[in-house]
Amino acid sequence: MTDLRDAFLFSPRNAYQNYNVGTNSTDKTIYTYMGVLKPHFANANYSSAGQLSPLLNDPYYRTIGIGTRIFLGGGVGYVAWPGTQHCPTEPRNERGIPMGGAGTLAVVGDLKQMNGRFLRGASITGYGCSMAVGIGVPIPILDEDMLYATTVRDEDIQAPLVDYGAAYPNAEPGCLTYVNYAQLKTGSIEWNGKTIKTAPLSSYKMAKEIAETLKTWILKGDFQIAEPVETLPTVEKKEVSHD
Amino acid sequence: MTEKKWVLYYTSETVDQPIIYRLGQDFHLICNIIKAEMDYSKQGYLVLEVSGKEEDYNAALEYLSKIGVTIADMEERLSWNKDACTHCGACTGICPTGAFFINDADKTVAFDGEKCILCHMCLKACSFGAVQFKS
Repeated sequence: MTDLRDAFLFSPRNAYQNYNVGTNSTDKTIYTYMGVLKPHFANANYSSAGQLSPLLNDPYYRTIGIGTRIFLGGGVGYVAWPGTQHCPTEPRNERGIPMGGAGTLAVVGDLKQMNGRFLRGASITGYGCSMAVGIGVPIPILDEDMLYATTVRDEDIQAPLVDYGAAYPNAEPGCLTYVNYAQLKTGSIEWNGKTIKTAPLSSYKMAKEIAETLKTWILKGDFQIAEPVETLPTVEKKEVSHD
Repeated sequence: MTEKKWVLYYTSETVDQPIIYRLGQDFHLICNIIKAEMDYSKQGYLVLEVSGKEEDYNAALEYLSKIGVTIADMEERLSWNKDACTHCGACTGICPTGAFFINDADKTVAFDGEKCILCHMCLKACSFGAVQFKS
């Protein structure tokens, strides 16, 4: 790495604001980007860190926009653009949290500052290669609304349970049901009289570590919070009561 | 009576012998086959839960080594590389016995080798190569 004149990372889709929970109705185990899914709804995998995921703490992207300085792969990076598939118009719950995959971030940063603890190559069986990218976004508490947004809990986040054995590959709309992240994190959910074992695909332990690291940088004065130079495409905010 | 978990490796020379029957009949071991993968023409392995007396274990091990069956403790077969592990937890949903699980307190992934049955599902579920089996 030191021999290279320049090395930077541009990652076009990160920090998905909520996403599907994958399960499998068929008779065979399937290998998907949502992990290994056993037959007959034996298990379900979810991909968000839930209450610690950046865009779920700023659901209308008031503070996260183009130019926002972030923790990226162990170094300092920036939000470059809305990520691929960025879709602010996804239906939202009464708190403004999208009920499925919505916002995403394209990020850029100096690869030489990053390290293998927070940036890891991944090989997803049956799918292909990918990368696990550690991202931390500082969210300034500008007012009461921002404070409220950042108090989001796992039980406030509903995700669609989607059949990756049939509905998803056939591009059928809709989902089997909605489950919240507090339920998912117990290790099982109940659906249609069945107990489905659940597992995460994103490391909550690393999410906490990144949040703590970023907090330390900010407190030491090493990391300046930047105002975005342009906002991401968004939708009008739902009026919410704060009680 | 203590219970042990053994992995027996057969060669093509020993695959035709009634080894499990011998373990029961001659060495009074109660055997429960958890997993078996073998082929008459090739080699194979068995994952076995055995319970019996200590002296019977030792005599059985001697017999197995004499006929050319190699044996390994389960823990020696599995390696979980904590540094490669991101503690995502993808292995925990696919593990049929709960050998891989998430610690509630600190959300780290942990492994209980006693519960592992060498089904190999975690190998496919882990995107970071953090679980490896020595064959």
